[in-house]
Amino acid sequence: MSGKVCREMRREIDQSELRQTLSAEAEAHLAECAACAAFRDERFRLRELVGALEPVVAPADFDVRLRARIARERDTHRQPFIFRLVMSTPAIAVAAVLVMVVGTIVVINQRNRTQTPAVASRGEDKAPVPASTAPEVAVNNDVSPVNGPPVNGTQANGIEEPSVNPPDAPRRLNVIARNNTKSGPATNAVSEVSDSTVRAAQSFQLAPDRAGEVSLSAPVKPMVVTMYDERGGSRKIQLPPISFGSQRLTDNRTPVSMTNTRDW
Amino acid sequence: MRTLSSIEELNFAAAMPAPVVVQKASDHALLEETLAGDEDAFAELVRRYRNQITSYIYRMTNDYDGAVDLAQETFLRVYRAANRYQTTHAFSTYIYRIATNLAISELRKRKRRRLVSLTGLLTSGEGDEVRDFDAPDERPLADANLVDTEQRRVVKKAISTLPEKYRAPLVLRDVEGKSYDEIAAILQTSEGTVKSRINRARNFLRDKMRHYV
Repeated sequence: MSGKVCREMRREIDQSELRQTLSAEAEAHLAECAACAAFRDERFRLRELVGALEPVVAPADFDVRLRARIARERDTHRQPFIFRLVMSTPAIAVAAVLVMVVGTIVVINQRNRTQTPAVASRGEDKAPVPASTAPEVAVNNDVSPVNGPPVNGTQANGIEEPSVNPPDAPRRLNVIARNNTKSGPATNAVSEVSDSTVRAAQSFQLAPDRAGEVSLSAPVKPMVVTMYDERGGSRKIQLPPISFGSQRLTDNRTPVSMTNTRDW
Repeated sequence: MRTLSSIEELNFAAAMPAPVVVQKASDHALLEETLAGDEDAFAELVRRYRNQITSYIYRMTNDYDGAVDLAQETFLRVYRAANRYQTTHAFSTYIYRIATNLAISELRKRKRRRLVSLTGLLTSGEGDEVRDFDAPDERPLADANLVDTEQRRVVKKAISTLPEKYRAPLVLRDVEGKSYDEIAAILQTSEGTVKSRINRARNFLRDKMRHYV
């Protein structure tokens, strides 16, 4: 049997309706060609199987749900354009991104503000150093960056606070030296700013008339106070973080003098 | 006060039958009345096509809930675009085209999401299409009902593994009983292409269901 004829017959079988009577020519061919007859049976069986799939119907609430969707859509279109624009998904996404960006900027600014070193204001300009033999006091915050609020400038009660900031480190020293008189020129002077380890420490010369009195801001970290006498001797006192409750200023468990250079 | 005994009573079309005039109107006329604001006309259109469209999309996607959603979306699009409808084609062609596009779009989304099971992957004869398919259980079944059930399951599964370009014409032809020219209009392709694709689809099915044919 010719391949071309078989192809033509099979095309006719394929395109016919299910169980439709084929042309006389095709029927004659099928009677002679077993392969084409088998093809027809196979195709009919296949189409019967596919066509025998049980019908699927829409659910009973199909119309109700559809009406609800249409009504919802109408309501959406009735809303003012600006409302639809604001409530649209892209607008909400843009708003969310804006909120996140603004929040990030605020957090970064706050972090930078707390880490920005306060500008040093040396007390030498304002308070001339009188020749004095009074002992000096050097103050050094000994540990890590201080996160407390910066204290500098002149306070309302006449207390002057020189503060020092190393240019290369976000660290801060806060030292307060009290003027002896509220309106007159300061008799305390900052004579030295140095850091025994990493940072600068501040030095004070005590006023002759108020010898032995110096005001410091309460350290939030342990602080070392070094005192010098006129003969070159020094003593260091470690101060724990101080709150304004009831507590001891010095820790009696540790030796008062850690690095004596001479006996007092 | 009468209480509702089933959800069926909430069916607007059933509870409030459309006027006789609406029931006898052609699809085109119903759509024009819908455009003029007649809700009953649209309800009648929904009543005429809801089962066909749901069934067609279900055969395409093999997911009943998804098919119902897509069928509703189909009617929603018809409703929205009623003013753009042109009467050059039959309404059934128009609505089937929308349903086909939605179903194919859903199939492509699924493919992108890789929802296809990774077990039992088989490659088609074309090489680039990878589809899952359960090999039929060849053990004899005792009950004729079980045989039918198993056959239907295998047929459904085999159809769902066809590439979408072959699945749509096969379902439209062998399940929905559409003519070749209707299918060509729905799929917006030539009749020759439709015939060729149906022939290929049947060959695929024959290979998948060798034990049942």
